[in-house]
Amino acid sequence: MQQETNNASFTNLPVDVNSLPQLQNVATHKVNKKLLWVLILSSFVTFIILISIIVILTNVVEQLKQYRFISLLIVCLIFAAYILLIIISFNNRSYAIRTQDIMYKHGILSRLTTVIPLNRIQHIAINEGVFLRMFGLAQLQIFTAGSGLTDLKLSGITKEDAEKFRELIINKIGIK
Amino acid sequence: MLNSPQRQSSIGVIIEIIYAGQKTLRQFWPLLILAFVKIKNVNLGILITAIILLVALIVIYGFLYYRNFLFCVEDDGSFILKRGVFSKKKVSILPEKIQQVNINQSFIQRILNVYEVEIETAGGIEKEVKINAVSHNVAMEIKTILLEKKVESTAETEQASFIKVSVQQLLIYALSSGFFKSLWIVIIFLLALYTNAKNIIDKDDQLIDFLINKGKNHILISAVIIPFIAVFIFNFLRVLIVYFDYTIAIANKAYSFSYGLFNRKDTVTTKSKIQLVIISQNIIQKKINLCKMYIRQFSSNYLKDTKATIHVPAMTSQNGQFLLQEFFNHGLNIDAILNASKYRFSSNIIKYVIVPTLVFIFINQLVYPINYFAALIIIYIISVTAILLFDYKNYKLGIGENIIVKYAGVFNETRTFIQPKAIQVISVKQYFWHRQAGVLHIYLHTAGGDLIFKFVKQNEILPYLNYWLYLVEKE
Repeated sequence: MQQETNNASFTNLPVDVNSLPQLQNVATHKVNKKLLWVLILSSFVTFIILISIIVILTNVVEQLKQYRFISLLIVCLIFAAYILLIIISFNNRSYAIRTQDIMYKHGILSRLTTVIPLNRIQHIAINEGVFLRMFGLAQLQIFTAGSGLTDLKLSGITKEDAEKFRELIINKIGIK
Repeated sequence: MLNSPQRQSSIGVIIEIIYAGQKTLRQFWPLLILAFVKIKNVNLGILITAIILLVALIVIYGFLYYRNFLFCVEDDGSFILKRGVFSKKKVSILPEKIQQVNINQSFIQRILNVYEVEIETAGGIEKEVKINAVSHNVAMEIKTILLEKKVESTAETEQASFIKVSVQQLLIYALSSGFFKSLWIVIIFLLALYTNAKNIIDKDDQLIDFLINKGKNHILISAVIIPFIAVFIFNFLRVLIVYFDYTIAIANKAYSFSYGLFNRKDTVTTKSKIQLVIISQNIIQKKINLCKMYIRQFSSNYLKDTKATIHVPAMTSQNGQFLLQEFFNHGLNIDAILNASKYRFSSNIIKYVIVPTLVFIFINQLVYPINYFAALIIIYIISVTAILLFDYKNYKLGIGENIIVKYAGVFNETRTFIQPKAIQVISVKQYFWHRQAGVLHIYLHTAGGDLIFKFVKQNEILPYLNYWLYLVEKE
């Protein structure tokens, strides 16, 4: 099994690298458009909470009254910019389920591509948050060994699709 | 001998009584303190009777616990343990569920010359599978029998080889690793002293004369050398107590690490459990040919699991290399080295030179219109730029058929090793302003930690990513 390859160049490997499936050329599916509303709604909730905290604080604490307008303005601007970024970057969200792995791309300022080989999956869960459920969507959560940081959370697929994918993956790798 | 139910070593009675006492104290200490504070004029007779009664209960409990504590290893290799005083419990562990057998010795156990055997199970189904007091022979026998059933090929038992860390090496480690730490503490100490001294001097002119004329040498000694030595001695004692007589035994693809002066720790790992190895040496250690190593094992959550990391504080670079070859099946040959893109340097320059300088100049202009600190800024810019240049030169990714190595660090050079087959998840991150330049950050997640390499050229790394995925997926 052990091969002695002293200073062998990469092309000497037992397989031709260029013939392997190419990560960069995978055709991915876009996520469901309704997810955009879920994202906007959930950030809107955070926005409302922030606004109410500011209003309450500036009413209760006398010294903070002068900052009310400016802080509300800043929060509104940040929120507007954030919503704009979500909309612009929404097209970056896409996923692919290949025969051997599952891939998810997302990100706002960056594009993060995560690939989990199916044989590394330890368990799969389906999460339906309040907003997700409102639009008939679900989140497929995929866990591997190691830290929780490496989990893949695929939002923006319909409930039926999530169930279908789960069945598919479970059948393929034989976990419960 | 172990296949019939048996008790712990007879001296274990004392251990169990002490542990029962410790447990009681731990559970009831708030109550005891409350009793001491609240109850003022207590009848001495009642108090003594209560204490005697409590101690007697603890002794009886400890004794019964010892009597009822039975363990054995059945012929098929499963481990059976019965214990409990009020509610009895029987634990049986199948051989395939046994992950590790650790032999430890706490301070009390060391005095009484008995050992603790702790059995770790897969997934931690059973907590606290522990025998508190057995002789060294029994402990070793339990360990060999339990682990023997696990290892399929017991036929080719090779002679164990050992690596030992001497006291001198620990001393050098404490000196070289604590050097920068001590330096910082002394600088902070001096700053605090300086501000305080200034306050005193402002009030007292005589003190200035005294300091200038007589005290110079005394101040140098007391303010610089003594704290430095104190910090160093403290550090050395800590290292000595934790890592005394560090021994690494290597046999049959299994490695045991035992160390400690009062509390002896013994951790066993196997080749297949090792996921990620970090070897590092700072500039002083590099000169004297010493390195330290972190071995990260397979773990369901390595961030929380402190036991998953094994730390070897000091060994010669040759021994470090030997261990690496051993862990990775002599597959350390590197076929290609990828350098980071120059974007790493330029983005670090923006982050650590340009932005701080601008902020500093801006604040400086607000506070002192005259530039007192121009020289300071220039020194900062030059030194940080030099460090970042070295950082850029040293930051490399080595790729071999069975190994991926990340080289990094300026003052503290580290090498991080993983095997492609240990990869669990691959993530690739690209900021939109890096898209044009084709620069990526890659994250290779294993079950023992991540290898992260930033600012790598997209066209260089993608073939390797595809290849690693192929290797993992074809398993």
